[in-house]
Amino acid sequence: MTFLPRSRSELSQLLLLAALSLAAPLLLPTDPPAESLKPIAFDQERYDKAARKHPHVALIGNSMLNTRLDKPLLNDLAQPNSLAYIAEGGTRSTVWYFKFKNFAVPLSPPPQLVFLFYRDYDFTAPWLHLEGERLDTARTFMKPEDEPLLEFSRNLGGVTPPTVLDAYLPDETTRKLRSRLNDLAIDTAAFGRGHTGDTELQAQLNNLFDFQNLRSDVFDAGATANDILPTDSKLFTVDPAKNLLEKFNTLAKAHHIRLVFYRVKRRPNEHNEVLQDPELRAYTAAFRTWAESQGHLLLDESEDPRLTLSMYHDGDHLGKAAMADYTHLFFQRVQAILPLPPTPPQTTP
Amino acid sequence: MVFHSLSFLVFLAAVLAVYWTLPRRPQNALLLVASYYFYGCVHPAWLGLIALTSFTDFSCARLLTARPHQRRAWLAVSLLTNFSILGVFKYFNFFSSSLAALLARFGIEAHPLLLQVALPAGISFYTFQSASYVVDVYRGKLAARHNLAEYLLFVSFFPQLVAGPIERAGDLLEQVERPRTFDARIARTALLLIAWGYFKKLVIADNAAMVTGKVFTLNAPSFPVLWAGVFAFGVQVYADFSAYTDIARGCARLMGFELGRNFHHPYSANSPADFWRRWHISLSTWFRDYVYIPLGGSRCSLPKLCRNLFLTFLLSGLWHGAAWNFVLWGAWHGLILILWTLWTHAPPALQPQRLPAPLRVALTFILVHIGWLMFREPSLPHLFQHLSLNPFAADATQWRMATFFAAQTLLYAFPLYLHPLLDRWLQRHPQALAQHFPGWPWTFALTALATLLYLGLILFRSPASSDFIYFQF
Repeated sequence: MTFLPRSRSELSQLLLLAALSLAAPLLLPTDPPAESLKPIAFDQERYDKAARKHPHVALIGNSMLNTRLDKPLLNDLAQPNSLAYIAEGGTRSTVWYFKFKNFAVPLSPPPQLVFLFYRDYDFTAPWLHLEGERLDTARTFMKPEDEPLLEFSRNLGGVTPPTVLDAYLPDETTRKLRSRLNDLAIDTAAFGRGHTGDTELQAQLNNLFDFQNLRSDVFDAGATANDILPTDSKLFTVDPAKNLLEKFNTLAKAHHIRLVFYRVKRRPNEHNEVLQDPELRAYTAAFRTWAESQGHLLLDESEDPRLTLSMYHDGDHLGKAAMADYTHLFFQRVQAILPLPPTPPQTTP
Repeated sequence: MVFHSLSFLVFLAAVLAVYWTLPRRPQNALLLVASYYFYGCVHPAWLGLIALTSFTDFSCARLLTARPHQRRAWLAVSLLTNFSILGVFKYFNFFSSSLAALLARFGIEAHPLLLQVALPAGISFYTFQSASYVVDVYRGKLAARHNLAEYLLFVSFFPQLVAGPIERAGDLLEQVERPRTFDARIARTALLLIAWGYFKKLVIADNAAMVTGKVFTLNAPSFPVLWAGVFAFGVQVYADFSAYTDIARGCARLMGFELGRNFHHPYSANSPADFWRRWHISLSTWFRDYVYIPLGGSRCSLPKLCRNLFLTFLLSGLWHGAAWNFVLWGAWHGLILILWTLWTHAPPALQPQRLPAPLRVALTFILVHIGWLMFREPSLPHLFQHLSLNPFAADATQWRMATFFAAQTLLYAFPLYLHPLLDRWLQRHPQALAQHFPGWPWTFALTALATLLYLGLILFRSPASSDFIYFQF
């Protein structure tokens, strides 16, 4: 070993620097309990609300559903069918399974028809959005016995359980400090205009980054997560070791529920087309074949020319102004399969 | 394996633990294996390229010494090999598609021949480092080396392999050949340098990158918003690249090596030439020694001097990236250097030196940031649109939003602006600097600084981190 002949105190000085620096973060306030320790918080109130309706039809999904359907309008159009909406932004197929199992199936009687709104590969990438705050949302749809299934889905995507490092990196404190710096920057920019100035500036910043102001090659983060997937997820399969489709199917059959896999049209280009690669077309065809062989349905609106770019707000979300038109189009597409024949709208003389 | 990953820290700790238990030759063998492992982690096939470059240059240097009558030929073989590899992997697709686009302008339909190859990380850096050795041997500045393993380590030394500094054989290779000793005082400054590097990358650069990223997603930003984004990019690129250098220098120091300083407060520069004396010093001195001076340097007529400057910077732009925006960026720097040089030839009363120093610094800062816009914006139509923006067309709201972006960047970049002041203060203690801060009082000060940096890193780190910008070159 080749050490420069220095005193021992110099080595201790080096060790002191390293030890104190590395230990300092341990003095910071720690985060709330790690996510795996958080209890299941099943949303009973939400279930009771759905149960009171005795719905014939349940619609499950995420923001694709919430930003497309005008619920009061669809309720009117679909009369006398009663509809229950079990939609929560940011969720994906694992959480949809929990919604189906814990919200739709236990209804008395169970709905005859369950719509599952999805984009492209959502069903073969069941681990998407099972981290952080999204996980807290997922737990509101879960029962204690669902914990292993949650872990199964998380493991599929390589979502790692919290480690010692997470305790060492206090995310909550970091978030708060970053938020304060952001507020300070807003205060500086809105100098002399008080609290109203801050609020106005924040709104102006939100408008600045409205999707229509962004370059055409920019996608929203949610859409990107859907698109960047391992090749495996882009091959259609119902292998129970890889996704939850077979579980959906088994549960639906056991309760005589017909599933409708409803593929929404993603943000089209300026010619109102959604360009699909051969891989995705083959995937959708295989999905349809499987669904129909099991007595279910796959409806695909991706090539509907009536859904134009002007109806979209940010990413794959529709703008509020387009929701009524969309709802009419949706109703036209599904009215024939509703459990009860819809009553024709009453015309005023 | 990137510097800001846990796997790198584990790798470094393991290498260091074994390294200091070995004598010099096994130390070099360990570093060579570690360096090839480090590079092979990215893409094992790239190891073949770096080995080919190193072996060719090592052999050519020996052959041109052994066969003086064939000196030129062996130099040509070396340069041809180096620049062919670089040309194929970095520039082939660029020139092929540019040629197809040019032919299309004349109505000739041509499908560009494109190679499906990824750009090997750090290829521009290690090619230049290795090529400089052969040229130095050719010029008689260095003796050709006989130990291949030591030469392979010189080219692949992992702390500086991917993004420099571009070392000369006269510095790094000679350190490889000498015994190294562990010095606790130097190791202490190395840790501080590494902490500062991580702070610059994860806090300053990555937070500034969020502002830059947002502004450059806008289709038609207003003048103030765009330039606030460019300002953020200026902070990002400096913090990002200098962070890599600091971590590299710190890691090398922990192993007893001293790498060259690559940055010296570039935004304090008071002229474009001064900027290039402070920015990416190892690259600008490489271009000075191997391109600018062979072209004639400044010891020639004014028109030739201007030509030499322009060509050197055009090549420097192309070195950065195979894209037209980098060529434009290089041309821009060539142009401002020429204009500044012509200005220095003006009558004494009108020369730039007559301007107050803060004004010259501000002017240089603006000119450099116009260059950063070219560097950051790959889309030429957007670039020309940005350059034609009118500041008077923006309303107060746009200026307020720009202030917000600038303030957001400045809040994170605050320590970057304190650094020159701290450096200046340290210059007043040359004795302490030379002896690497001996004694307990300095220890307390350095420990406090390292702790603050580390706490800052933990608390203000950006939620999203990206690769180092210069990895793409």
